[in-house]
Amino acid sequence: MKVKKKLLSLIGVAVMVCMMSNAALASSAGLTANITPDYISARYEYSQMGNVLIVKIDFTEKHTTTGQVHSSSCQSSLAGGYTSVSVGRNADAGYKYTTMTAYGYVGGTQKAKLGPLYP
Amino acid sequence: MSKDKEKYIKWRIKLICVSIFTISYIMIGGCSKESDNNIEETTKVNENNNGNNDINNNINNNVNISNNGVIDLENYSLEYVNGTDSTPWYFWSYVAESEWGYYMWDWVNIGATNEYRVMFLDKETKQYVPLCSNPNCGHDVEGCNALFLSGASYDMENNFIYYNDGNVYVVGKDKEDYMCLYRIAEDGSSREKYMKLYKANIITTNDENGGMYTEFFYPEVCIHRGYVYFIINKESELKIRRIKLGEENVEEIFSMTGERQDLYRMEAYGDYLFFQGGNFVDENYMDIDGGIMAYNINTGEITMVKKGAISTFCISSGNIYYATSDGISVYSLTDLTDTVLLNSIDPYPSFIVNDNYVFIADKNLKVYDLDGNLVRKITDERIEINNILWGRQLLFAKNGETYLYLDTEDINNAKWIAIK
Repeated sequence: MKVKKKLLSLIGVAVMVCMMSNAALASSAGLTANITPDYISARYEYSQMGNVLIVKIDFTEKHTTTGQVHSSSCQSSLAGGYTSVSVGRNADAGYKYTTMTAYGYVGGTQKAKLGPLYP
Repeated sequence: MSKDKEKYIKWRIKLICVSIFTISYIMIGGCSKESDNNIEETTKVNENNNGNNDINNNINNNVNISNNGVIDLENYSLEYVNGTDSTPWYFWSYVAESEWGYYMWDWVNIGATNEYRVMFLDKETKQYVPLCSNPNCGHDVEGCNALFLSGASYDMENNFIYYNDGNVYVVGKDKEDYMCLYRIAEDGSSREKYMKLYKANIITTNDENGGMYTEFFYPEVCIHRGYVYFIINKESELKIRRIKLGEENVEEIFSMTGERQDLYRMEAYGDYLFFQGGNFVDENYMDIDGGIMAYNINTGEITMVKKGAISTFCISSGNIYYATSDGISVYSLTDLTDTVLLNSIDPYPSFIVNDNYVFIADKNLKVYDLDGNLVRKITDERIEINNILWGRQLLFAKNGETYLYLDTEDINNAKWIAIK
């Protein structure tokens, strides 16, 4: 019975890992990111205060009729006494997101990266 | 043996030998060390140029647009010239092609971070190495010609990479917010910040969490026969500009008018730069009134060659293959006839045409002959529509951080093969 419970919990963890590897939602080293065709977001958490925290997203979005691709970058930064920073963005009118890569920075140094992710 | 071929063999041997030696050095030595070679970022820029968000210098408004749909193919040509010409079949992709290999963006894990690196794939051996021939370089620290470290304040446009006349070009924003062209020698022996194109427009606002939100857009760039052509996305008045490689004079060759403008998809074939432009008809920004225009790079004349062709297109054997709301049509630039090649497929499909086949991303990869007959469906669970990067003889795709290629020479047995 104990073995069965252990096995089930291991399977549960494996499923969770697989789900977290799913392109739409992923997390790693304090960085969480999500992408749908219409919206991208990322959040970076860092336990120590007193640093400038930055979360950045490099993304591409593609127009549904012209097929034009926009390649862009957005970020949010917080200075001083914060332990997390978030950024989110809607796709431009007529466009759908195709990829994103998220980064977390502390004091200008890259500490975490997620992606490329796909909707 | 021709001198070019001899030169290629010598530098290929050099690039691969350096990589083998370096790998052996690391394995024996156990660790990489900081390179003794510092990259000297040479900027050949007139700082007075491109100082504003909108370029005001040396604008040439001498643009005549002809609407009769005919371009001169008697005195001018669409033929591809190796080495100097743009390779439009890699449009909006991570890949560039030279006579001897492919150059592509890739990522490398360095400690806890993931950094951009330019790689070289040899056409014959399929060996995949960083584009750096610095001796003793571990390709994982500042100083490596292939590596663009995020901590060094590079923001690189990683769906743009070009090969032209012995050099590989990439685009990135520097720490002073200039959008720049970086150049790496084709054998990986040097790298420089080659040109500044313009000062990027950085959108800055206070976000709802009390932080600062910033955003910028990379340009669309095309390098062709000694010029860099670029469109600054999200400008209030969209323009195509060009600068001769290595120089400073900015020429404006085309400017949009009207509301809800769009200007996009520069594809250069021979003596012509084709591009699309138009105006979205309403606030949904879905339907666009526009078409394909052709700019003669010698005379400056611009012609609207195919009104209504507002989506994916490519040119092969004097024909424009263009996506429509239900398939692909073909417009002849010589006899001006329009025929339907394929219908009843997905609207505005993503596709490419080479000398023999039409490749369409339709759930997987479908291959048609030039008469519109289905030849094969190539299925691979690693491939999705938006992952296909196209190409010519080799098609490329990207699955996460893995590149795959498909050799179209033997189409009946072709399959996707992972590079690493």
